[in-house]
Amino acid sequence: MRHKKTSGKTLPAAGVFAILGLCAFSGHAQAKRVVSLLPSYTEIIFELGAGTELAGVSTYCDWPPGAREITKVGDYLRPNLEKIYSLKPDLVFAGTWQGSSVAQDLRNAGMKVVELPEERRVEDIYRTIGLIAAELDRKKEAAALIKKMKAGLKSGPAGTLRPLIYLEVDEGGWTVGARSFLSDAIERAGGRNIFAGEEKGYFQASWEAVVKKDPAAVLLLSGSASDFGRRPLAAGLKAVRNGRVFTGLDRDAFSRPGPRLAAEIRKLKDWLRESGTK
Amino acid sequence: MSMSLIKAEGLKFSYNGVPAVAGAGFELQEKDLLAVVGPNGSGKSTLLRLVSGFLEPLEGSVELLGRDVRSYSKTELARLVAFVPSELYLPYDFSVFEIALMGRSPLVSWWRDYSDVDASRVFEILKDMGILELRDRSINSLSSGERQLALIAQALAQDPRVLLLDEPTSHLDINYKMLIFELLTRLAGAGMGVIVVSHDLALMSAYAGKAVILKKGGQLFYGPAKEGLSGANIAAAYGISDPASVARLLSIY
Amino acid sequence: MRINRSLSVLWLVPAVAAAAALALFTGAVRAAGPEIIWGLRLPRILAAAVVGAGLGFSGAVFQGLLKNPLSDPYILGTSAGAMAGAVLCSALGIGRSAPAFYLTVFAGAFSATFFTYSLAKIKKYASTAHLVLSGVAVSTFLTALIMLFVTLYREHSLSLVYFLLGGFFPADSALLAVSGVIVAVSVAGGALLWRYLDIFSLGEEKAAYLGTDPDRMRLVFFALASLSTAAAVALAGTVGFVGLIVPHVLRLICGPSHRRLLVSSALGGALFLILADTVARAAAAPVEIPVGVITALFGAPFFIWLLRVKGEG
Repeated sequence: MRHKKTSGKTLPAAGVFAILGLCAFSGHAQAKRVVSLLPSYTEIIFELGAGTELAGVSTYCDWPPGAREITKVGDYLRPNLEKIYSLKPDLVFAGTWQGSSVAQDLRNAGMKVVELPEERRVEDIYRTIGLIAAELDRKKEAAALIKKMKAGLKSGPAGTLRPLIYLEVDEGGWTVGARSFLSDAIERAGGRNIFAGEEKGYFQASWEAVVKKDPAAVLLLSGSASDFGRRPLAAGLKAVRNGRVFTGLDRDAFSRPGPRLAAEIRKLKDWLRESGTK
Repeated sequence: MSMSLIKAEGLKFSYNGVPAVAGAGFELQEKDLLAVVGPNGSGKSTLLRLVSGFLEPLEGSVELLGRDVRSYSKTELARLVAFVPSELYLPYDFSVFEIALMGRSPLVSWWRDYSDVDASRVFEILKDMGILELRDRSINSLSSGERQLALIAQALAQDPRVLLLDEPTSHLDINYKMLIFELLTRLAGAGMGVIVVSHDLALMSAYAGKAVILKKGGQLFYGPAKEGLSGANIAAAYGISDPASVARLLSIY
Repeated sequence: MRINRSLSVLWLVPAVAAAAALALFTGAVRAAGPEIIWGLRLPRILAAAVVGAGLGFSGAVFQGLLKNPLSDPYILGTSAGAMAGAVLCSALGIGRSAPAFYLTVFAGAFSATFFTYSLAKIKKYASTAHLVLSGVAVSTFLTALIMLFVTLYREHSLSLVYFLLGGFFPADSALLAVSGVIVAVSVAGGALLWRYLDIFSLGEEKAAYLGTDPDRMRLVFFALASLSTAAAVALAGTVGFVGLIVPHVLRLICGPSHRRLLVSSALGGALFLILADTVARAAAAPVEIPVGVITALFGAPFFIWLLRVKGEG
């Protein structure tokens, strides 16, 4: 918020200052100018009601629709430092990405950077929400959001079976291991990630490995079920024979550690139960 | 009476409007060894390429065995006329034998491979030229003289009736110069028609039977070499003021 | 005197078979079971053989046509065209296993190469220098379009990177057969016309004097090499270094004459890629390393070695 300088009119100026002072005590801290470098942070910020404080977002930030209007500052690996600087943000939310000098570069340019740790499990998202809320003074909203998410995760009758699931994020065997929150998300939905034994985050698995494990269900975040069924030996897979190839998840909502995840997990849980996947 | 192989008349050619050959003409018969001499820029190489059919003249004609040289198909022409360039860049290290064998290509149908007959013919040619022991050596590892002999062998493998050579000896040692001119004489004697473009005036005057002398802007002379390669003609073609000194120079050899 | 026709290349055939056998049984045989070994590994090995043969062959042809031993099959816009095809499929939502994907990539690769050729022919005939220049122009333009797409629609960038590096995506056997036939026909064509590629090295003028139409021969070989490259790329993406290294090495072993070089480059390429793919598949199982990464790992030491050898020459 900027205040206008009026020359030679001290009374209105004093009045303006008074109003500002009142706003300062009204519960919200003076609004900040914030830059978010990750779509999940952007979504969280909007959910916390602080969307108006966003001055810049990454090129991939497209949710909620309001985020598309905000100035783009490049992607999270190579943000446009000059652009960010020109927005004069009070702080920048970045992730603690291995080997990336983004945070340091921004600090060198005199900006305040809050590095949020990577989410390895679903509950790490609550930590992220808490950290963001602390910076933006939205503690009440954070508590409400976390409560909503926890309720969403608990909702829905739990299945008793824990079927083996293969998750393909990108065509060509791109899947997740134990280090990715997506593996945990699958567990929460009542399934078991076939590659949960791999100490990896996002990696490319060989088709042979997938066929060997013969999962009960397949989740595709890209590509169609019919294309999947065309792969060699796919027709013999349990999941394909029984029609348990699921493409109903929203790719962005599921693959971002953000506020929409709980709903997607619920979707998955329901599908697993309804389809009787074993 | 030797058969006429090539009849060239009134040839004119320009490169991008710049005249290169202006009015050249001669006749090549079997057993002829014809020298083409002249200063740089007089159109010697161009004339050779007009005769070979590679270039089309602006005016005039070249007849090979009674037909326009450019009316022959590439394959037909390759069985009659062989061309030896002065320098050839070879990016890969083919052996001498492989290089010479390539000369047999116009005689072999495209769907067939070279036969043992082709191999024998190449073997024979290499032996006659005295380079048989070089046959498995890489062409890029040879001396300039040996390399030129290999290229001539390739041309001879075509079993041509006309052999055209563009500056075959300019950069060679005297022993190779003589070897090549002796070879050309033998070939002509056996019935081939040979045209040589060269700067080696002394050698040309020693070996050539006929001569064409070119100067910038036209042809100065065509006729018997002994008569043509005189001090006066050379001096006129090259723009040397003292014909006597030229004559002396040529007679040293 | 007899021509030395010994196809000393023939030792490559059992070598390829041995590599294939090795590949079949590498990587947890008992756990895999016969279904996986014959149903997955065998087609994959055959694909590696076909792609390797196609790239080795076309690398040798381009090295002959462009008279430059450092040419590779992608030099004339082929890889950019293939990528453009893949990117188009990505935009249209065509999955990697769909036959439409194969067709689009094939068409992209082949037409980019032919566009390069037509562009170079502007000056009456497509000389080597013109070809290379227009190849650079076409590649640069297409790559720029691709980069634009990838930045605007990063949705599938990872699978596109996988395509660019080259890898054996589990594909339809029918497509494998199509590529196999195309590569076989191209190699056969090359084996029949080998001597014209030799003559081509003599230069345009001398080739003409030997009764060869250099333009027609260039076009024929260009077509054969482009078909074989397109068939390889449509199957496995733009796998690098095979088309560059294999003919180079085989030229040192068998000599530069294309009598032996074309067929041996095909066989050598098959051998190389079967081995590289085995490493890609089994070295870090279940993680799949894109085969182009393995071939590139061979590429770097190869070039260092080449520098040392040529430096002393």
